[in-house]
This record gives sequence, C-alpha cells and structure tokens, in this order.
Amino acid sequence: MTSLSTKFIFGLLLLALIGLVMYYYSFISFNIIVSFVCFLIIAELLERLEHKGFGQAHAYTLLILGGLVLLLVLLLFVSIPVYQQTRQFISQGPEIFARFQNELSPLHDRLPFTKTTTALALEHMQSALLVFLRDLFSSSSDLIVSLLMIPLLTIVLLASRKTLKESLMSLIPNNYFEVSVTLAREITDHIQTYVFAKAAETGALIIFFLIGFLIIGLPNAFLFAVLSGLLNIIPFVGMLLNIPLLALAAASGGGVTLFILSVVILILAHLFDNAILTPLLVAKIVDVHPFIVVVVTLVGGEIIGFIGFIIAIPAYVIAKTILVGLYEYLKAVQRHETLLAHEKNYEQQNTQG
Amino acid sequence: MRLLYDYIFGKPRLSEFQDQLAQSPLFENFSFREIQHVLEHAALRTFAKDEHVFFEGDVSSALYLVLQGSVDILSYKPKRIVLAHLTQGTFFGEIGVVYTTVRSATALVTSDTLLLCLFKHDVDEIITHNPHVACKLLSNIARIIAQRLIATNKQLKEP
Repeated sequence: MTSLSTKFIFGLLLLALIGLVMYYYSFISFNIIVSFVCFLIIAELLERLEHKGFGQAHAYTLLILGGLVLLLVLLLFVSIPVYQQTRQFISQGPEIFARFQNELSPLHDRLPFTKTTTALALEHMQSALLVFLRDLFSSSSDLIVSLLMIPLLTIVLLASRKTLKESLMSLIPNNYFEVSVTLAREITDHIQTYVFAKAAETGALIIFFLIGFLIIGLPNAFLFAVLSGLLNIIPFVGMLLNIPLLALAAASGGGVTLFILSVVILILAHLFDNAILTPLLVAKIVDVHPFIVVVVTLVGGEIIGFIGFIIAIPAYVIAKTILVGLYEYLKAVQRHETLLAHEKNYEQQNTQG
Repeated sequence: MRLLYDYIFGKPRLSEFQDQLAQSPLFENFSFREIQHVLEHAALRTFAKDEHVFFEGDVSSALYLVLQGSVDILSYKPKRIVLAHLTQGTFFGEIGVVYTTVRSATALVTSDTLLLCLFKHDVDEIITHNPHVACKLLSNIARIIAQRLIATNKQLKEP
C-alpha cells in the first residue's frame, strides 16, 4: 500500500469518526449546524447591505426590522391558519381516514387482495401523520432548548463576525493554508447558495400550491400547501410522498374528483419546479447525478429520519468536496516530497563529484 | 502565558502596514480608503525561514505580497535555480488570482517573513461589490505581468 493511499484512508477514517461523533451527539450537532447556517445567511445579508453603503449599525437595524416583519407576516398569514387547520385535521383524523377507506371500497370489490394491504398502509399512515402533526406543535424540552440555543449561538458568531475569519485562519498551519482556505470557502459558498436557493424554491412552491388548492377548493388548503411545499425539499421522493397526503386531504371533503384535481395541481407544481425553479435556482448548485441524489437521500433518511432527507444532498456535496480536496492535497504533498528528494540527491551527487 | 499574550495582542495588524502598502506596485494609484477596502478581504501569514509558501505544480488560488522579510522564487528541476529574489513591497503568485492554473515555480522563504495573502475568491468578491477598486487592482496586476513578460522575453533574446 502506497503512503498516499494510507494517508487517504486515514483521512477517510477521521471524517467517518467526525460523522459518528456528530451522529451520537446529533442534538448538539444539529443546533450548532443550524446556528452556523443562520450565521452564514445573516452575515451574507449584512455584507450585502454594507456593500450597498449602509453602516454596520444601520445594516443590523434593517435586518432586525426585516426579520420582525417577516416573522409577523409568517405568524399572521401562515402559522395561525396552518395551526388552526392542523388542529381541525387532527380532530377529524379518524373520520377522514374512515371516509378515505370507503372511497376505496369499489377498488376492494374488484381486487379483494388490496383490502388488507390498504388497510394496513392507512393504519400506519394515520398513526405516523397524526403523531407528526401533534408533535409539530407540542412544546418539547428539545424544542425549547433549540429555540434558545440557536439564536444565542448565532448572535455569538455574529458578534465576532469580523474577527472570526481571521481567528480561524490563524489556526491553520502554513502548509495547509491555501488548500484549507479554498476548501472552506467552497463549502461555505455551497451552504449559503443551497440554503438561499432551496428556501426560494420552497417558498415559491408553497405559494403555487396554495393558489392551486384554493382554486380547486381543497379543505385545509394552507396546511396542505405548506406540507406539500416542505415535502418538496426532499429531492424526487418528496413529490411522491405528496400523493397519499393529497388523497387524504381530498377525502376530508370532495372525494375522487378533488383528489384528481389536487394531483393535477401536484403535477403542474412539479412541472413549474422542474422547468423554471430548478434550472434557475438549484441546478447549478447541486451538480450531482439524479441516481446518486435518490440513493443519498434515501440513505440520509434511513440514518437520521426526516432531517436526513433534507440535509443528505448538501452533506454529500460537502463530504465530496472535502474528500476530493484531501486527495488532491495528499497528492501535492507526495509531489513536494519527490521534488525535495530529487534536489537532495542532486546536491549529494554534486558534493561527491 | 507570554505565548498566550502574544497570540492575543502580539499579532501584527494589517492597518499597521497601510503606508508601506501604498508604496507597493500592487496598490499604485490607490486611495487610502481603496487600500482599506482590499485589506478587508486579505489575510496576514507569518512564515519562518526555509518554509515553503507553495510548490511548483500546486493549484494556484492566491497572491502574496511581501510585507517583511524575503522570498526566493525557484525551480527544482532537477537542481535548485533561483529565478527571483523578492523583498519588501513586491508580490508574487499573481497569476493565481486571475487564472486558475498550477504554480509555475516554487516560493521559499529565505528569512522570517510576513506576507499579505489575497485569494482569488476575495478578488472575485471585490469585482462583484466594488468594481472600481477591482479594475484598479487588476490593471496593476496586468501591468506587472506585462513587465515581467517583457523582461523574460529580453532574457531569452540575450545570447
């Protein structure tokens, strides 16, 4: 085994160890990662405002005011309707599932073997969806800790914004300097653009779904528009997960016609996403083969659940960037050693000569 | 304790070199404010004697300006040939900020040296946010590259 491959395997093991530690301390890791992402986004916005001629104090004030307005809009026009519709959906849950099963009875008459399968699937879906929706609005201790920890960490990072880069750079030894800074920059750029692009894509899709669902008269349109838009964050799989969700929504009042109409909205949203949003916002950032996207997303979801579905692709791209960087760096080190060894040999030969 | 003190308070600050930077060909025709703007993106690195800044064949992504000390630009194929000896105020590795390629020579520090480092992504950021300053910076870099090319051509023509 060459020294390059030994070093590369050592690097891989080190990365795997970091991943394992993050997995075991997933709650802390999650809070730190979210704080860092929030910091990157706010820092980028601050920098853009400062470049537009705003002073630091004005930029902070503008961002705080903008954030408060956004929060107020989200609370009044999204959170409250979604909360009300979720409560309503939970209270009507068993009734909706029973109605949905009734809608499927013609299918069961024709294909009797589907009866047990759909009954089991519906039972599983009912418990999973209702538990998810109940948990979404219940105040658990983890949620409170995160709500305190994330803003606090973000503020600490923002307070040292100007010196943070310098302090982190000073920790890097000279021989890793250029490669580490370039890699770190690539990674932070990727996170920033990915988050901005995905947020814009999800926001546009939620609005698209909401308009569509309101037009066709889908009950609890706000709740299902938000859920459908959020599910779209999961590449490929998200759109498929929407189908049973919409079937349920349609079953709560409207039947098969409403279900077909809502699937039409889903297909239109998918076309809108693939033809306009993805090429405009996401394609340039996620330059990964669709097959790898599906596999990585499923693996991420299998390992850490719902969050895994969302972070799988950026995590994969970051890991890939680090591994390629590590490999290139180790190759460069090997070349340096060869160059120096050649020079030493040449000098020795000259001295002996 | 002394080390900790030096780490916190003993580090040189870029603002200390403002006057010296104004004399450098990299910042020719720059105002005080424009230099300050570029410095916001730059970093300081201290190299000990005989340390390599980069090697021939490495991916180039940064430009270095000598603030203190000296640097030799050399080639190792097969024996060590010193191509240039750079001192305070001069800069090297400029191709790295205009074109992503590999280093054509090796940079070796010949005495304890303080370098100002400006990355390609920093220059790209200056281009986006402050094109006026970027224009001046790139124009100065282009002028120096042209001067070095003329000098190399002259050397090649000499018998």
